[in-house]
Amino acid sequence: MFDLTQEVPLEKKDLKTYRRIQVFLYLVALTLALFLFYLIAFPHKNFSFNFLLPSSNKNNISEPALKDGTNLTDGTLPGNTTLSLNTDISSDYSKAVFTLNLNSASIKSTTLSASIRRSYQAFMYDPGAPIGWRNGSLLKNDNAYYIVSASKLRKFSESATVLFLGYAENNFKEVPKSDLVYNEVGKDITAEESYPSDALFHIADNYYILDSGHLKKFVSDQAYLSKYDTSQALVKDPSFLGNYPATDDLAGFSDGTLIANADSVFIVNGDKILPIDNPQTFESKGYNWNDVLNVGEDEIAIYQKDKLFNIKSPHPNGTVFKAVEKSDFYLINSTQKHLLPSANIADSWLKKSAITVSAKNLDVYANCDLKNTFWHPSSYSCSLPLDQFALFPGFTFELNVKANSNIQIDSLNVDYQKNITKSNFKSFLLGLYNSIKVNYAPTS
Amino acid sequence: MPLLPKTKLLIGYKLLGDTLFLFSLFFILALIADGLIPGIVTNHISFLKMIFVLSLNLIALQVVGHLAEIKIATIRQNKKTIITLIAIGTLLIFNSLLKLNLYLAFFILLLTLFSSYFLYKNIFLKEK
Repeated sequence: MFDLTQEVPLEKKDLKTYRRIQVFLYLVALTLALFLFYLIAFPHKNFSFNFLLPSSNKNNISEPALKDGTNLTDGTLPGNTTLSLNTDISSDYSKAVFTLNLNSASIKSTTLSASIRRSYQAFMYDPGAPIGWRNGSLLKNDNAYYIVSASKLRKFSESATVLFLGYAENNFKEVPKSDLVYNEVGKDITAEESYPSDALFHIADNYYILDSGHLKKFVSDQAYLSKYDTSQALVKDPSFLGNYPATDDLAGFSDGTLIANADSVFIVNGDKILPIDNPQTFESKGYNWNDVLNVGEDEIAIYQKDKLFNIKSPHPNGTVFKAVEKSDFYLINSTQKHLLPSANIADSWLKKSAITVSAKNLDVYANCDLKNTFWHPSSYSCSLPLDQFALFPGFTFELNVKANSNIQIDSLNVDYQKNITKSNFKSFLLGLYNSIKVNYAPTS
Repeated sequence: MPLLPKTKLLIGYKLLGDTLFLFSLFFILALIADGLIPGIVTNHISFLKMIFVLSLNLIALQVVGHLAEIKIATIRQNKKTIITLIAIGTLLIFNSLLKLNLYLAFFILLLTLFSSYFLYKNIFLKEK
């Protein structure tokens, strides 16, 4: 039989003992190899938070909070309130095993329940008030002409004013009256007052926006086109810059625009850009490679680089989601989700593809009741099936926990698991194939 | 006086030889798998842990061998094994250089092989 140390002879009796242990050893090795294969082919993803060590770097759930946004760093969950936490994963799992470890002093007869839903984190934000037209929009309805300036809808006092200021009919977009109610009404524009803030100009091959009486140049044509159409800008000759001096500040891209420089892709967020950490994050966030604008050093230089945008990062301001059911559009701004009340209004915010979501999916929950585990008296656990979420867009799972009386949580744990099924094994093989393709197939 | 009877030490030595074989086999397979698909094994077990366990096994083998007074004659190097190991090592190094320009990758590969050979010559063949 297999003996690697033949030069060390054993007596018959000892050899028998050795053989027995050797067989056992190889069986253990085989079992461990199979277990490792199981972990590789059907991986787990574990998230945890320890309220006893809230600042530990082992906590990979960020800020468990009450549903109303109050942080829960000490682990005290009042009765009938909901603890909410987000976990982000980049592939489909079969179930989430949720475990709560309670402080032994707080254990009493309490009913604990958990629920889970899946979407993009930003799309799960609380809804804010509907948002109207983007600043600078030129609109008309029933021979009345409007411009959206500083978020207000301002009417040109008469048609003559429109002509006097140099606007033509084709600068304005015909919209139904119902679309004009979402911006606060500002005072009328008269010929004496001249151009309002956010008026757009095209002067000597450059685009400008009027900002507090000064013209702000767009850093590039594509920066302008990420917000507006060419028809919205009034063509003026360079002498116009004498009336409205240009500032040194440059206007950049629309919030949420994807820009690429060298091998990096960034998302514009105010005066900052968020570098996307890898292609998997880009795709798992629903972005489209065709929407990435290649920009030069001069265009990127006006921004400050912010922290990495990774799988855990919610979509930033300026992101537009499109709900597939009713073709509703939503704009993300200041951690709120604002309805864009019509396709026309959405069009003023959207110069690239919207991120497709399902509004109906937000109401789909998997639920379970946490039961006391047999191995630990203060540990409560339950399993949440995730198969129903398999085709849902977005990889953020929002987990909610509720108790009917006050509890003190020591730690919590969510373990995403893949069941041993043919389809999961197929997806593992497909993942292997894709990894090999990414690593070895020549890139065109 | 030894802690354990010699027969038990001999069994222990033989079993440690088996575990060394298993760990080495696992280490080489993990090295190849991780070279082909980065992270496939190291996402679960780091190479540092594997090397630590291998080193512990080697030390234990030495200690038990010493306690059991096992003297092993130097085994003649197996040419086939050496060629196989060099081939695997060469492929793994070349694999890690795939993203580079092909000529640069070959140049670095040759440089690595020459350096390894001269290091080996200096360290192991000096006494001869």
